[in-house]
Amino acid sequence: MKKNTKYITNWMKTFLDQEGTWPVKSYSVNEVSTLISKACRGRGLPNGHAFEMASLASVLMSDQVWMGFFVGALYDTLDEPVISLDNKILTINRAKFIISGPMAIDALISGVQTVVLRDMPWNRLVLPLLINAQNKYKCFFSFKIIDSSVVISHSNTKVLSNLGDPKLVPDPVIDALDILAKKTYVPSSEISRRFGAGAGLIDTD
Amino acid sequence: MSGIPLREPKTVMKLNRLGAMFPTRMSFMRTLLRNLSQKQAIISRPVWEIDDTGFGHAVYTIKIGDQEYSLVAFTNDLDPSDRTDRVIATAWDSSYVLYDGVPDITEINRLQKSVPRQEVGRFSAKELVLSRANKSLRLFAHVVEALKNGKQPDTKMIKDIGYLMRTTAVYGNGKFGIADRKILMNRDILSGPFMAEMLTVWMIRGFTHDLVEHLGGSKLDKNIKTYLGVGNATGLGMAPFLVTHPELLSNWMMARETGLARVRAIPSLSQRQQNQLLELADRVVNHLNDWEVSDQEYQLRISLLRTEWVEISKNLRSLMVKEKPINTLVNFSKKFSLDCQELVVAFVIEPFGDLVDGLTCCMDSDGSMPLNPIMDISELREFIQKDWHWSLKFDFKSKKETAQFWYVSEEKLEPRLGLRYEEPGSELENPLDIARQIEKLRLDLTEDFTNVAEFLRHFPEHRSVLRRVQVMASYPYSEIQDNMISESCRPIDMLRCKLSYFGAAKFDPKSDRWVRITLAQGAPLFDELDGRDDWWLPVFSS
Repeated sequence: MKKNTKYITNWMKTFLDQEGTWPVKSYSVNEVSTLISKACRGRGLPNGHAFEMASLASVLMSDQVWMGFFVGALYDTLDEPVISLDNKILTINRAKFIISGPMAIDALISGVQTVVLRDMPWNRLVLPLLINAQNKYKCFFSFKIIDSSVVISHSNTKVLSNLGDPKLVPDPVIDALDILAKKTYVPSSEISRRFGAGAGLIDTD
Repeated sequence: MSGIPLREPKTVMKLNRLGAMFPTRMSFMRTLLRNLSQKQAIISRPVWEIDDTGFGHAVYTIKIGDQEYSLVAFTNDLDPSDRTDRVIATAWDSSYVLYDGVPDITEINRLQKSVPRQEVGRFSAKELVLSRANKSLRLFAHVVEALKNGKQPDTKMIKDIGYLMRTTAVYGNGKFGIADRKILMNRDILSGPFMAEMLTVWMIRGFTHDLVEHLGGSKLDKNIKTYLGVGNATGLGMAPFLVTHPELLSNWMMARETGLARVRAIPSLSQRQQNQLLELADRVVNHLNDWEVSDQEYQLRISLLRTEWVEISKNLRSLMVKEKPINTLVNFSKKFSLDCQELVVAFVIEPFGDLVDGLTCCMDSDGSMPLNPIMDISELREFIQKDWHWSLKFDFKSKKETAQFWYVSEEKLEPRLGLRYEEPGSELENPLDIARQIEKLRLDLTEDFTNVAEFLRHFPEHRSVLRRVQVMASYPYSEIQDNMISESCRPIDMLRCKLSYFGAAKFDPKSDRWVRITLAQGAPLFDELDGRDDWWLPVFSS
């Protein structure tokens, strides 16, 4: 994990320093979504959380800096959250976005009035998380950032709006996701080559 | 008309039955061609820059209502040693893109730089589908040679091979930067599942016809042309799709099973309908006789099917005059092999387009059913009890039931199936072990939790499979009710299921993990979009 932290600290510093000058490419939402899913699994996230994070792709892609923050969140340490529920307020201490984000949405949908995510790095990612949840569950949320905590509540009106079409994706984001995605690939062996799809095929027809 | 219940998922969703499926009139290629006819689509060929040796590029434009799409085709001189159907290939005889609109010369030049490179190229949202194809060496050269000599090709070779080129990949939905599928959602007939991909394949077929006529310098006989479809080699990459798209799979199956239930409920058949079934039964005989494969086990299945079909044909006249004749026929078929039972299903659906064609508009899904975190744990347990009892029968302590694992190979990002106890890499397996995941979920689902949200705060690792339980409660055909990591799991069964929905026939397995098929065989030609829709299980008429 120390290696990850060092990598992402340097990475994020460079990423933010170079804002607006990154090389960028056009990616489809499905490509980015698939890559996020693999990167999450490469990071060791459960498959269900990888699925939830992948579903954020189109919203994340509407802001290039969010994409960078997401990489930051993905490389962050995965501490076990400390969770308490008291009088319809769910508090998650040591919250990490990629684990606690879906838990926060689950709680709000299941009747909890307020969720407090304490000490969560990359807390601006709450915005794409909530926009995505609004689209999925057809209900409204609002949030406030107070010091290092994010406080999320239900809202009677739509205060968080979609943020436009997907934009070009910075190469450093793709590269960083790719590093994690590659951790899900199995190196080839002689036996795997022998049994791969179409192995041994000679086209004679 | 009193109803007949749909066949139950526990019957239909078994791997070996899915691996016995046949194309129907609800298959995607049939649906596409029917819709193109209804919309009076018109095809033109604005660009033909193919030289005397057959290399260059061509553009075909199809106008569907007020929308236009173009197939841009490139052909290259391929060294025979580079010709392979495997996804790891890097060069092909021809490459294609389905372009959104009509490309101008600048766009064609751009595409020429990227399309032949396939996976290595980068694409834009103007490109809807990317594909490539290799020549059938024997048939392509033979057809060109025959036409050059003013003759028609050998009909036996036409029957045996059935295509001039075979695609080795047809990519859609955002691959390599092409358009996301979402773009097609409001594109009328292309909004259905795999419609853009099927359109691409059908247009490639037309290009292959034009190419041999160009090289041969004379016209192919129309019957031969009609019989020549597009080959396809499909491997493991396609197999996990059915597991990773549960809502979509359910909608496909639900539409077909609803169609079947509707025709089973028909109280009696008119003379015209009886005659139509008799004609179709004869066609099945010819089709089965044409279906020869090199895999011995599969050939035995085909041989048995031929014998069983004789029995079906013999009894057809008497069965057709009984009450609820189609239902009687379907029940009669239950004593035969799964291949025969599923062939009967496709057979009885065929004449009743008025009852089933409308169901094809219900076959899509964006797979976005969200997790329901408010569901009570008791309700969740009831769903597991009711819908997932099939997963109980597997003993995951047994090596046989965990013998295989699905993974993605680093070498070419190719999905593969490994042997868990013989190969390295099982710690990186893809989560297609759904039945095993259910067992683990069941063990952790205690009374200590009130709802799903609370449970998942304690057990986030169950999020994916728990969502599948909820999906299955609304989408009853969403799960293949077998153990996907068992020693007995045969990927080819999944491939056949999916390919039958595409409209493929004459499945020709080359191993238990890849299969060659033909698409669009017998389909209308470019100038035949006039409503002709009678090409189920095509046979060659010389």
